[in-house]
Amino acid sequence: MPIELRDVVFRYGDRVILDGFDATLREGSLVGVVGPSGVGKSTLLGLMSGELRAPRGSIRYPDLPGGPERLAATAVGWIMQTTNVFGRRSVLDNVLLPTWIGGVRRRDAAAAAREALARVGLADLAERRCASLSGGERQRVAMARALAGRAPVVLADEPTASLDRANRDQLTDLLAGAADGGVLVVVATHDPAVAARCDAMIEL
Amino acid sequence: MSERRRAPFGPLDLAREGVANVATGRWLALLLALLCGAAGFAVTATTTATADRAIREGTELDRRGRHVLRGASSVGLPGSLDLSFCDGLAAVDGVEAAGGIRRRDRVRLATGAWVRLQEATAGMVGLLGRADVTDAGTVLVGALAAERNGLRDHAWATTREPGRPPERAEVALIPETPRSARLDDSLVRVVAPTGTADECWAEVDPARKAALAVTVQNLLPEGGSGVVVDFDPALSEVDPERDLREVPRSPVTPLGGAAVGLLVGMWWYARRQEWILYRVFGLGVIRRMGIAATEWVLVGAVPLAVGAAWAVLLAEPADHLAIGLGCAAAAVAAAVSLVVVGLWGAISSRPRPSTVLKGG
Repeated sequence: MPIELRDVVFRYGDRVILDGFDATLREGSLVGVVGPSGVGKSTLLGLMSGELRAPRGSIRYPDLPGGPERLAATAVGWIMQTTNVFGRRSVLDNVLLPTWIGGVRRRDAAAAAREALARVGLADLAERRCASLSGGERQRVAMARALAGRAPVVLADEPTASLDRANRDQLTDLLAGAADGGVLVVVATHDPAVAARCDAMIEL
Repeated sequence: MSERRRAPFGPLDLAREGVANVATGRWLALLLALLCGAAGFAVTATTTATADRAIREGTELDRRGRHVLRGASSVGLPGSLDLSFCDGLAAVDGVEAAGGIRRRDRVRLATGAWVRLQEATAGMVGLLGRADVTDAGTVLVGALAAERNGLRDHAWATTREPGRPPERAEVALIPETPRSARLDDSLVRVVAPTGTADECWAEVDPARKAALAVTVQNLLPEGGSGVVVDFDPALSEVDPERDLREVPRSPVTPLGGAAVGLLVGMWWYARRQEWILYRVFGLGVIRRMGIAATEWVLVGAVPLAVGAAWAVLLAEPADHLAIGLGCAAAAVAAAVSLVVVGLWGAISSRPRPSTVLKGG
């Protein structure tokens, strides 16, 4: 599912974050958002997801009527830098939850979650509490969550910031694999290794 | 990929989610539930005990005659009133019972013992707790006199007065109450309301005490000069009804409720990132409130109710009113806790966008 941003303006008080920003992000691509800290990478992701609203300009999903604020929650899979999961709940619960909330019967959501966990290599940890997982495993749980929900767009905000090299590479492979599968993956990152894997870049 | 069947995430699912959140944090939830239960116990125990004390105090004062208006000579002169006047007060609007009493000389019983004798109208006997005794000639006996002379209910006693033939009468015991204390060692003969009286008693409607005191004073023959009409001042020094009215205003109730609300609210705040995840997953405010309400019920309301019930069971209040006030206090505390957690939820459900986006 592509995203079109036209003449987008966004400010925090007097501070201009985006001023006449234009971009077209195509489905099936891994798009990197890079730039110094505080420049507005997370803000851009927030605008795409509908969590934030731009006072000027337009953000469109041409395949869907309306802007991002009309998106179903399952249309966007979020992978955040930290606190991605319900720590006290099982891995399976974490992965099935957004799909279940999105209106899929729980049993079917659980089946989809198990499939997604297998794809990210966490099938054996389905019943483990998320709090007992490593940082890399938690990010893969978040990735599985997006896959289980069949989200056409995945927004990842510094997903590799707290990961070691092996975990970073594993997660980047998963993001790239999702993009190859037709998902639009937008990843805000400082990591040159992640940026190097991207099909397109937005530099702020 | 497998086929998916649609099913809306409904109220039962929200409740299930709330239960899962409580179950997965069971030790902390248990601790919070215990604290909320303690708050419910404290609120209800305090309220029930205070109400029960006030009600018991009121009952005891009633037994002692705080609503009994007494008329007697201001200088203790015997025969200042008429028994017929005393009995007639029962007809005054607001007077629930009335009667008169007069002292007589001592009489000798068949055992040879001398006992004080008083004569009272049936109305007076009723005020002493034997409204069932109305036959003139029946002799009532105070507890001490009965014990000393071996008299029992329905026994027959013969009395001898100087210059009069012996009289045989059925005995009725005067129940031991503070009201009858002065008659402990006396015989009281029920008489028709004729002749003089030393004292008039009239039990009045508590709500009209002051007005009836004036009314009765005005009804006295010749304005009642030399006769004082008043309630026992010693029994008016405390006001249990006022204490009872103050019970619902006790600060303990809102404080207990606020404590429960804060405990649950702090628990939610400690898990604020989870609420953000729910939001990111597309759960709107109303549905998030459904989960929160389930958690509040399990961790706050139910333990509060259990604590309240335990407090009532332990307090064993004598009156349903005390139980009712205790339960009402628990309900108010629960409502206050709901308001507090509601405010807390409203605040914490509006995090800054950066908080949402960074997931922390």
